[in-house]
Amino acid sequence: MRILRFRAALAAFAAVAISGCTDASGPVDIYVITFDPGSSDFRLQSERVETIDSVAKCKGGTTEVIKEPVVRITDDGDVNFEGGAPPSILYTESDGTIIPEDWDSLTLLSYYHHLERAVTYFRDTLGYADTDAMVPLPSYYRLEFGIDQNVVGATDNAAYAPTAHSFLLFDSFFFQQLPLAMNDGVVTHEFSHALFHRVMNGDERLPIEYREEWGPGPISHLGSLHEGQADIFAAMMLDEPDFFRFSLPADLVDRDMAVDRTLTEGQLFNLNAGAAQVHEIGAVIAAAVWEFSEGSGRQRAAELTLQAEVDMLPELNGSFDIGDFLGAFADAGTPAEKVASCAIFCDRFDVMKDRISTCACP
Amino acid sequence: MRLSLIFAALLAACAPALAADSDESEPVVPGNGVAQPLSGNPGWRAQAAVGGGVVMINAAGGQHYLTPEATVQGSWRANRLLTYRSRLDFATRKDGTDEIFVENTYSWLTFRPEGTLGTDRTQFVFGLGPSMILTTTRLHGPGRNVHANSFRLGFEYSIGMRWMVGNFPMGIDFGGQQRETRHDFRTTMVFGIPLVKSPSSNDEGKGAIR
Repeated sequence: MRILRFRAALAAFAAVAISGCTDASGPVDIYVITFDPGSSDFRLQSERVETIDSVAKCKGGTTEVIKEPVVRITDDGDVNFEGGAPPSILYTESDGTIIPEDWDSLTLLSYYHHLERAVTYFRDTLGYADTDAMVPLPSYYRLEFGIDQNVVGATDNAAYAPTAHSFLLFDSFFFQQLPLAMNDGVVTHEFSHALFHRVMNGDERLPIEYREEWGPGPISHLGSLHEGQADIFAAMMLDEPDFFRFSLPADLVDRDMAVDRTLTEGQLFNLNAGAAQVHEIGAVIAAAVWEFSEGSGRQRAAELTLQAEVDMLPELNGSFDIGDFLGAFADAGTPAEKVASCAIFCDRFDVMKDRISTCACP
Repeated sequence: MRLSLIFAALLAACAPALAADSDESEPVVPGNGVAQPLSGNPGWRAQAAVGGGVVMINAAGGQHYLTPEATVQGSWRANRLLTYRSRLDFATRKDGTDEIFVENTYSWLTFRPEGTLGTDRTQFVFGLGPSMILTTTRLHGPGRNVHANSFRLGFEYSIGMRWMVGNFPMGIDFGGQQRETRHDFRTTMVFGIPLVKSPSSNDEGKGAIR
């Protein structure tokens, strides 16, 4: 009889404990850290998240977060992710709004919100119909490298891995500011890489420049454009020209688009030689488009950037350079917009104005 | 030739010891032949204890963050082999940056039976029992605070030692705690005060715990 009572009590406790495992799905309001254009700062705000299927696992129609996968870099240079598990998000609710219960949960739920926001921006605001085909995609959090693996950059970073069509999220270790995964701009920047890859490569995982074995110069040009266009979309969405400053030290990342930047002879030389700092050149491209957006509007600048990427696709080959994009951007606009953009491009890219043939720079 | 000499020398050296061993007439018997209890009597029936330690709090991403904790415990010995122990553990931690951070306090209340093995002075303890966990959360973003509390059920387990320092008990535990999908690890050390004494094993029949 005593044994029966004990078993009954144990079963009752187990039932209560198991039923206590909480979960929720979207649409749901969640407290996240997100950029507030009104104050030009990151704030704790209640935001609606539509596509999340499991808050406890941070999994849904936009992404599936997988913690602690083992990363292997194969002999072919591909990156493989093995194992891992869903994160263990804990949260509570107040007035129907989900409150993440600790820092990690806040970081991952903020990340989910930001990625969903980026997807919505490209699909609904910019009208890129193929956006839905890109999601859900896996996001690997806190990667575990083997001791024989290269671990450079394994902290304080975020990245898009085209061959695995996935995002990589790393711990903040050195930089104790806003984690990159909490920064809407950084997440949109990375999603812009994914989108540009989609525009250029469709379902192909290996980027065109490596499939077609481009030379180092065109690869450098395309890499710079990759960074520049990613900065453009993020800045236009947030209406913030320097979103990196919230997460990374200013002396390390000089990407403020409001700064007047001009391509120099030295930078062009490095570009053509395949030795350019792609983020530095990308900042020049982004700053030029930012200046254009001051007159034509953020959304219009983003629309023309996306249109230029689509339009230059037929001519995308091993002789690519930044001028192809700048010309396509100018051609995508109205006559008045073409005049405005050409004036900016001819000025800021004077050292390669002969490559922007559509603008007929003086 | 040399090997045989060495062997002979070793034999000569060991011979007195072998001879002495063969003279032993009474084998050594543990407890002088009297059956020993599996567990002794430390001299208390109930005790209260306070102490502290470290809990490795499990985060959503799989990390375990070292966090100091305080503990208050009460124990009641049902018999020599079984003790009922309740413990209240408390920890607080803050994660994040200067402007954006999360503050948590965790209170674990556990009741558990534990097995006891050992002598009067030193005992090995092991136990498992259900827990109630109260977590308070404060999310802080620039210009805004959000507070929340949550209550969860879980369980706790540990192995450890308890021993007597004079008339005062001490103990150390190594264990873990499950709270929903998270698993924390902890180690604590406590200093106790006997509340109800238990007559020693020499006073059988006078209220000693068997």
